[in-house]
Amino acid sequence: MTEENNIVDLQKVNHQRYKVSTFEQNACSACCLCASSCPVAGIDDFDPRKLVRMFALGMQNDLVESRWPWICTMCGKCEHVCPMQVDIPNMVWHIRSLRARDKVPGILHKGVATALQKGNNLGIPKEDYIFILEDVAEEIAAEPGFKNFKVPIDKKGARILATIHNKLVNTHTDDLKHWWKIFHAAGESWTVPSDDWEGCSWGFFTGDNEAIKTMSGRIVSLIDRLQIKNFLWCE
Amino acid sequence: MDEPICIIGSDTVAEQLSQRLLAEDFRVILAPPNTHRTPGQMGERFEYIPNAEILACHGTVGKFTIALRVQGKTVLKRTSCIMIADNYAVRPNFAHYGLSPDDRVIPASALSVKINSCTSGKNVFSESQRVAFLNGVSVDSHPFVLEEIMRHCLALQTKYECQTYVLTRNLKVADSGLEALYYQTKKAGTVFIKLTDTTPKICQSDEEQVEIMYTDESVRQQFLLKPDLTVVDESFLPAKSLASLARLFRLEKNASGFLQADNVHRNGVLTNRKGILAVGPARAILSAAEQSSDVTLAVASALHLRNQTLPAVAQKIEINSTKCIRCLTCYRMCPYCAIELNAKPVINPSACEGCGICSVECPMDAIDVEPFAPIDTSAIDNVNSHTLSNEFVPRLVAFCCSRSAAEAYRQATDMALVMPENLTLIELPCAGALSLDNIYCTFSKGIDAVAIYTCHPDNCHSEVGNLLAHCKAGRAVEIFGKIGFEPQRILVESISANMGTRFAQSINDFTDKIITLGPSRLSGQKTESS
Repeated sequence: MTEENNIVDLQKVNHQRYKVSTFEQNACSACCLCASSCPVAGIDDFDPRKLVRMFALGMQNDLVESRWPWICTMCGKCEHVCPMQVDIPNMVWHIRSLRARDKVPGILHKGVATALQKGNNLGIPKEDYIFILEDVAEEIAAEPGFKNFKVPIDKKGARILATIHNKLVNTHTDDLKHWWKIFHAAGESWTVPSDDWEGCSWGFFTGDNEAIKTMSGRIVSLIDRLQIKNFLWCE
Repeated sequence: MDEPICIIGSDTVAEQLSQRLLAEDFRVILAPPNTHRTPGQMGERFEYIPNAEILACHGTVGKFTIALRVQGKTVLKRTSCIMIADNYAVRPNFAHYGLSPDDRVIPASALSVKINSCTSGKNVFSESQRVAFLNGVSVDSHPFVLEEIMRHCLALQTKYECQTYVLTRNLKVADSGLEALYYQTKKAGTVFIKLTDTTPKICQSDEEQVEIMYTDESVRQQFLLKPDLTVVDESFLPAKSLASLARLFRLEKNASGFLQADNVHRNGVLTNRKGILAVGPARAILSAAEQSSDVTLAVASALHLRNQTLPAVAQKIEINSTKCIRCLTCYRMCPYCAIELNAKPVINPSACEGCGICSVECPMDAIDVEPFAPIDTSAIDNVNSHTLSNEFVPRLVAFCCSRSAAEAYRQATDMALVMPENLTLIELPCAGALSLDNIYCTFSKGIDAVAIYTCHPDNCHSEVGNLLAHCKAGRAVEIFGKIGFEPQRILVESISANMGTRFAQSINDFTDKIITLGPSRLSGQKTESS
């Protein structure tokens, strides 16, 4: 679509975006408040206003191929300041979803694929996971004041169910201790699951609607099965 | 006001005016510059004089006499009120873009015709898939022009499946409903291209399509557009007749040539002359709705003139025919053309606005403008310039225009702003009513300083009253310089009615300078050094 010398031939641009527009891009008044607030504006000579304009013109292909929608931090400042309520973060998300999965940058899609297949982004087997949980529980029980500490796994009817970020059972296991100790000291009725424990749904980063649906569905089943009253989603 | 109203105009506004005035029982003469559309049956109170050339106009409101040449003969018509409403000269801006008209490049009005021709079910746009509008790229556009373009775009996008583009520098959406229409048009698929720092390159060659190369300033890339049809904007200019009508009727014009000065006092359809109105296209670029409003205003003015029983001005103004030498100075100076030339000039109280310029300029002092004549300076006689402690407190006189400076002074006192102790205000109907004699007499009575406050440039109700006052002040300053009397004792400044704070600041600063200067030699008071 973009020719040499960077001249865009409008004969080759399809302006039919209005048929799929749901992000209010037609309301954009080019005021540039979004670009002024964006922490990554200027990288690759891109900014939110340029993205909205290209989207409105129908240049989605150029946007899907470019790096910038993946550099966006999804901080939401652009949407917050936009006087016309253009939904820019969702527009970025939509552009991400249009990319072929094998072109998703870095390990993001690999994590999603692993989670869909094995239940968590890192593919940690269930045995190892349970071992780590109980290991950490023992360490807590050895501390003064926590003699009777036990980590509740799959406790039916618990008041709170918490999912776990994969790094907490990989490289940052000590960080499990803080919130476990609080629950214990408060006498809280809580539990963690033995399966479908992944708290980090990377489909939200890669624009993968189906993956999100699947992973959320698993948690909902958990909640039903264990008859949980409150779900604590730490991500 | 028994005489008919004369409408010099054409097209919709003139027709609407005629109908509405007839409905109010006025008699109407319609004199268009051409034979545009012969009106239908309008009744016996309506007279139609097409193709008339206006030769001259004498008289004042309520009793004008217009001389017209019709079919080689000169005709005189008495009329009470004149309404000028000639329609715009419309000029397509091809030259601005380096384009020439052909079947691919058309003016906006031609597109209207093309779209209207589609109503019979025929689609004349099947060949023209991409339509580009150049609107307000070279010269600024106007909301009503943009409204028409957006409605065309909507029709082209939704009914005729075209892809439309609008290139502009400033999108003129400052009118009712236009923001919403703009959004609706974008949702229908029109691409708007805003140009701020860049200019598109437009090429029209014989074989190829028109090519428009422009920079999209949000994407920061160059885009190439090859429209099948290019629509060029049109400028709305004053009718060609307005320049000579302005001369004939002694009317002010604005910078664009319309018959209403850019002066805060020229409201609605009023001009500098009572009884002569500039309606719709004669006074500015207006939308159809605004022109309709003008018609309403004009009719209201006519009704007001008819119902008025008293002369406009309360004071009595008379030219003493014994003293008058018929030099015609007053006739030429009057900004309202309120003086009729009979054996001797006579002031028409209906047209007179009481500015006092004629009185000041008359070399024979033959004109009295009560209650302002003579300018009352008796208030100055009793002011002391020193306090008990022998400190110099300057005696100041401020000559103030009633419409601006006097109001500013009142605002300053309402705001309890501190002003000089010994300030005497003399209010004038217009700064133009100030004479050199007034200035000299004031100083000869021993006043230490004179301030003259006028309306801002281009905003004097009497057109030139402020300029005359500035000239007089300048003349006095020059003379004082020559005779060795401090010219710094005169201040002349323009001010408006809402500038109370500025008035106080100005008069206080002036007073400080006069304190430094010391008392006037004519005041009989000793200076510090003597």
